[in-house]
Amino acid sequence: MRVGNAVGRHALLIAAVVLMLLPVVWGLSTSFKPLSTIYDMSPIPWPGSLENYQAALGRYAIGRLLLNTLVMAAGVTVANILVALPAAYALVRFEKARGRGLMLGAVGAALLIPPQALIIPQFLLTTQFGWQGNPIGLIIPQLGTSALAVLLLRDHIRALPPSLIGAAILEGATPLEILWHVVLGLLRPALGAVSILLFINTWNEYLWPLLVMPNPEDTTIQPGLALFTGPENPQYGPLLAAAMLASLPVVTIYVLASRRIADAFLHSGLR
Amino acid sequence: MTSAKLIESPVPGAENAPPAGVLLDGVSKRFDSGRAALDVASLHVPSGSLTVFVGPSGCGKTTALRIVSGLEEPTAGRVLIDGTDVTHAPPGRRGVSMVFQDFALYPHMTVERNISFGLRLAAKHRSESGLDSAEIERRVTQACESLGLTALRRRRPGQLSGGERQRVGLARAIVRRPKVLLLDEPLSALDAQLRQQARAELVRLHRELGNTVVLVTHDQLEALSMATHLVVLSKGHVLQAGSPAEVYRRPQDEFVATFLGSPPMNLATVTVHDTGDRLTAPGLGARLPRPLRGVPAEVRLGWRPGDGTLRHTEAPGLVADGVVDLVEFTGDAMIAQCTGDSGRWAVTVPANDPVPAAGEPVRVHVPAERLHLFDPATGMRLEA
Amino acid sequence: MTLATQTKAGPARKTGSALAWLYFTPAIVSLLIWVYGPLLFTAVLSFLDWNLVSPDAAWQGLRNYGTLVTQPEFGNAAWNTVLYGLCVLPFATVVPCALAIAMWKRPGRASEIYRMLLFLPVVVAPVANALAWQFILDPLHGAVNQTLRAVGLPAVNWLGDPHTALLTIVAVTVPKVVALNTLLFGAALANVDRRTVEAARMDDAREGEITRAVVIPQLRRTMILLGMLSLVVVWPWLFTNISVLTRGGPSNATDNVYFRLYTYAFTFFDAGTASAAAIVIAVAFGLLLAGYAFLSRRFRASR
Repeated sequence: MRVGNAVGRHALLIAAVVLMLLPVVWGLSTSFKPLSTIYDMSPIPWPGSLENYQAALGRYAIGRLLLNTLVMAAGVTVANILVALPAAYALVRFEKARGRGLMLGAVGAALLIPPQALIIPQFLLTTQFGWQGNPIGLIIPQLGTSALAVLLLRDHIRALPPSLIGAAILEGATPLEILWHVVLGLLRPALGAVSILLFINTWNEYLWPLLVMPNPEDTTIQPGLALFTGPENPQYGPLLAAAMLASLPVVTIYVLASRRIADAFLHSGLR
Repeated sequence: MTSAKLIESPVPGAENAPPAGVLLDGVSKRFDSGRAALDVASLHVPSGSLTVFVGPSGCGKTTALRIVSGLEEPTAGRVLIDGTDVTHAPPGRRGVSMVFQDFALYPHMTVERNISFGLRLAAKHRSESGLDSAEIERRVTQACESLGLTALRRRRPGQLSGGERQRVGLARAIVRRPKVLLLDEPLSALDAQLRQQARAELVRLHRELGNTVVLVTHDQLEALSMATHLVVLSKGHVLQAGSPAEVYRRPQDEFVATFLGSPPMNLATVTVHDTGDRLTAPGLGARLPRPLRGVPAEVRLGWRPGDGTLRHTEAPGLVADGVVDLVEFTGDAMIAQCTGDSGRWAVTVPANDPVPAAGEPVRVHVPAERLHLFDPATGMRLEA
Repeated sequence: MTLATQTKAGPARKTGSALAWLYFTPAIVSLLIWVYGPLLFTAVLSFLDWNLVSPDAAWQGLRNYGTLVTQPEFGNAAWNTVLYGLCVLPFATVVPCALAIAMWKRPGRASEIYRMLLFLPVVVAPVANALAWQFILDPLHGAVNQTLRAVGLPAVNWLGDPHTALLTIVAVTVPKVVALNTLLFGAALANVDRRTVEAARMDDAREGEITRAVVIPQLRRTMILLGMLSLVVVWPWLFTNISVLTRGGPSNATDNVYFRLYTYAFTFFDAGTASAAAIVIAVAFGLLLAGYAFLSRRFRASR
């Protein structure tokens, strides 16, 4: 009976892994196939070729797009953390502050408003500020997503042992000193995990760069990739190579930090 | 293993029928890390007894209980319940039930659903031999009444106090009429006041049900007061098994001697004189009624704080001198913590006796029949 | 904190509140400028006739909302939105719940590896995912149709056939939903007492019964929460795939209200109608959330 359960369990999980990852893995394999064998059904790209990658880097200026994306993702991550950390800390530290409930409500509700309902004014505002085609316009409007960072960080700060903050209060530390010396020190792993999540999330943003970066040179990798594809006879080889390059940085970060990310979710509000 | 020969209850030989009750026969358990959590030649729980497994944390008592329950399979050896080999039987099919340390109530079920869950499953699995719903209802009602849960039947665990949860856990375990009821630290989640009451409740329940109960605890006081049969474990081995009085009065080794009793037994290393009837160490001396034979030149001498008296006697026994460091008030008596030339020791002073003040010199007398001697190398008891 | 401020709660509380709001300021300003301001602005725009550029905008009253009702495209998009939601829901609840339980039941090395692999779809660049799917679903040379032909089945134009296109878009999107929610169910399971499973084993429950009667009921609230949450986060993901793969076609079969809104605003430059659509979406969403709040309160009350 136990053996049967184990088989069923592995069958379920393996089926899920295959169904969810096969298309991407197939795309990865294909990206190494030369043009002549690109539609072959062989799962192993042998003999392999790097011509697709050369084409992607040469013809599509993938490097430039990746750099733009890096600037955006890093910028949004840092900006969101800077904005969210004080708020998250104050939500935990000043439990009895007047209006705390209002703040919490405003943060929670911001997450639930469909972003599509906001893009027209956000777009107009960005144009008004003269940020069209400017990296600032790519980054600052995405502060709207700082609500997520506030909630994630708040959960982590709440999970810190209250006695440590209490001890610091008794030693006469000001709230800012507590934030700087006690909370930040303890929060470093969580901060890393939350930053990684924000980074990955922003890296994969599609709609906003599509709107504010009309010039294909300046846009980020997600809409950039989409620009190369068209309904008529796409060049799959270089396109898939570019797609794999677009995923490579975040997948690498994830594989290196998967434990941390899982832990970050374990402390999220789902308890 | 030294533990094997210490077990005084009859160990079944090949020719004997296995005894009633629970028997762990040559059972050992290793975890994936390779650490041996349990390694016993034979551990017997007499039928109908309230057996307590006691020992410090990590001694293997919980592992032993989980092996009896079937939640853990032994690495080697057999588990027998009333003579039937259940080593590989699934937990729900060996006639045992268990109360968990934190009670592990199903949080989404009402009290009565919690209690009836096992019976309802049995009815579903075996439609011919299972109980009908009227019988299930009757048994649940009975269990609720016996544990004072009738008013709480429709509540959920989240709405109950610790004591109430414990009783639900008990009701869930007894409603299946198990041959063996296992209790894993059932009192540790309760606060001190409730614990006293729950202890009495458990003893009453055992008497009423008349089945075999195995209880695991690290609290030696709890073990001594509740057990009809006591098993002391340490580092995965059984050190001693027997009635609480016997284990307390004749501890088979130094560990058992110091683990049971509060404050613990005093110990000092003493020199045995040529005549064999005189033991001395700086600041203390003992005269024995009969000389010792065949013992090492130095032995460990033990005496319980409660066996000493500050009154002068001429009877054979121990006389020790010391200076009082501290006097603790326990309500019924005082405990004087003293320092002598051979180390620290304690003595219990009855409430009506004059109490020495801190800094005062005292002399304690212990009658010879209350002295314990241990081999300094092996820690085993030496018979005087 | 000095003793003096402790005895006089009033002023201490006031300064504490002021200090708290100082810390809130960066976040609250960000939210006001980029979330709540725009929401209000969208509401105003929905009553105007404006092309996003010209200096004059005319007051339209409710006419933009009327346009939505009368245009069959919007009705179609609304209906598709419901279909998308219904199709995504099982992949936001039942499927990840089963996967998370399968990993939780036997913790260890294997489960760690599954956990890592199963989260990958969240990380993979969405456009890369879409392109990979487009490649294997290619009507002529794609791996899926080659396989179908090899076993003697007719090839399907997955993204080009109005009957299959919406389901195909769902299939392209759900790995990400499953991946995220599997992790979140795992987080919820971390708070389930494993001893309740052992207690059920002692009660002679079979593995399936343990899952059904002991584990899943303890996840019921998580199930509702994640079902809800997924209906919040899935639309941008669907949007990307629709935008890359079908642009709402064929014959609007994969269109939904979000893509329609985008089309009104940035293809037709009709800010009024787009904003009216946005407000309709936001209100529909609000109703959905109110429904969720009601449900979850009832669950809490019954606990």
